[in-house]
Amino acid sequence: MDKRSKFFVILSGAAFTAALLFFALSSKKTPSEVGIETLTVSPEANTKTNANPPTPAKAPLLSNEEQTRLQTLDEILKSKNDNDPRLDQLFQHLSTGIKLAMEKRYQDFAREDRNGRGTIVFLISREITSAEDIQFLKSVYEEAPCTNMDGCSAAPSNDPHHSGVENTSLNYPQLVGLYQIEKTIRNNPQAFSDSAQRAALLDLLSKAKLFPVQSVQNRASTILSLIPNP
Amino acid sequence: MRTFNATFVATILLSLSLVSLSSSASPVKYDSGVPSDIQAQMEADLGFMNQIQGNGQTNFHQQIFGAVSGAQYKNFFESRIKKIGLNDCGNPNAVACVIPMMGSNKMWLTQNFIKFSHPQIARLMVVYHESRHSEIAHGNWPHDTCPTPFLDANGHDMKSIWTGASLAGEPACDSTQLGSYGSSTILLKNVAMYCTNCGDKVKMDADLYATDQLGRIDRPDVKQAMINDFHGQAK
Repeated sequence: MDKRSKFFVILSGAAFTAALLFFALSSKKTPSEVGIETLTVSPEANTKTNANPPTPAKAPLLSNEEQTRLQTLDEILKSKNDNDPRLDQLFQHLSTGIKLAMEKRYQDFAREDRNGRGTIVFLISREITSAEDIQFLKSVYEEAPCTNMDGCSAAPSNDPHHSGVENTSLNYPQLVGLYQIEKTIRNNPQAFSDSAQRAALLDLLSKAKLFPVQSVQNRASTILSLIPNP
Repeated sequence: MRTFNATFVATILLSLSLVSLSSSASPVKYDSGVPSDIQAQMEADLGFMNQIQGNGQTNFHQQIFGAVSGAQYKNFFESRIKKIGLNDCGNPNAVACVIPMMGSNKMWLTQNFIKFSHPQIARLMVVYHESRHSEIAHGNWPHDTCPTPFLDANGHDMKSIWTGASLAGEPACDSTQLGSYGSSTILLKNVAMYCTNCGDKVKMDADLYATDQLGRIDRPDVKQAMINDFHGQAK
């Protein structure tokens, strides 16, 4: 086969691939085209235990742009790419409405979706701006602890080799919330100087200190020691 | 004609991007029994590591990995792991392992690699921890037996997991910063401190998991040297 023939064989293969891709993409309908409500749940949601059945949620009124952002969050979580730059680009300065929608997402996720749930806690605790934010975070410490990555109510595994990683992932949402609160206080000791917010934060931390996992309790104690008396 | 030209250009660009994608995949060989979705996740995770950029590193990191840089991490992994297979690693909750008697340069992944919802940095921590165990020249960096009693900074018994058995007497510690726990702790702490193209979540995760792994260093002087290293006071 001469060079020219080889070129055309390669070109034909590429064109065929392109045609297949084009067909696949053009035949994929968007959620709105197939009439699906844009407030979809994670693909992993409801496939496992959900020991925290959501309270009847008031569907927050979201702008089209906010609904698109929530869909983007689902895409990011599904991709398992935690370094997706959109987490920092699109999820700062969040409105109350989108935070409420994200909290509903949290409840919809299976309890075993530790990274999904922890990511929601991360996004909300990164910028605590209201009593509702603190209330949501407090509820995270009122959950029953997850005992096994394979099923949050299952008997714990006992592999000492990588149990540290497992223990951190099991308590990931709880640890993430405290990590962000500590970071906020260390960066700005006056962050919770408002008396109502301070009281709510102390209430949250007292719940975290009661969470029956030593690593969570230790971190809550550290944060409490950082909060000056009024 | 214009449409044809556009299609032609798009086709050429697509071909080039496909060639580019295939050349960026790791040279690690997967056994035929490794499901494609596990391979894809491993490649995605390694791909993330391989593009990391940093603006500094600690002395211990320099000693083990070199600079905080995707090229260094790629070289570290690929010079140790040549093949990847599927195994249960002898534990229902394992994610990955190296089994020296089944080939030191082979890493085994389990179904949990994609089944369990660990953050990406946690999966990578296990992968880099296990790759350290592939080094025959260092006896595969065996773990140290945790002392009895083995207590945390607050005087509490260190447990396997929060409901689990004590780690005291278990081969689940390191007495040197160069072992698997030590090196993966140093890796993650440096990612948290110096990665310039990591998002806030990745940096937080790296810090969280590194802080936990530091607890597996059972010699107080070594642990203090690591803490000093992280704060730029290494001697």
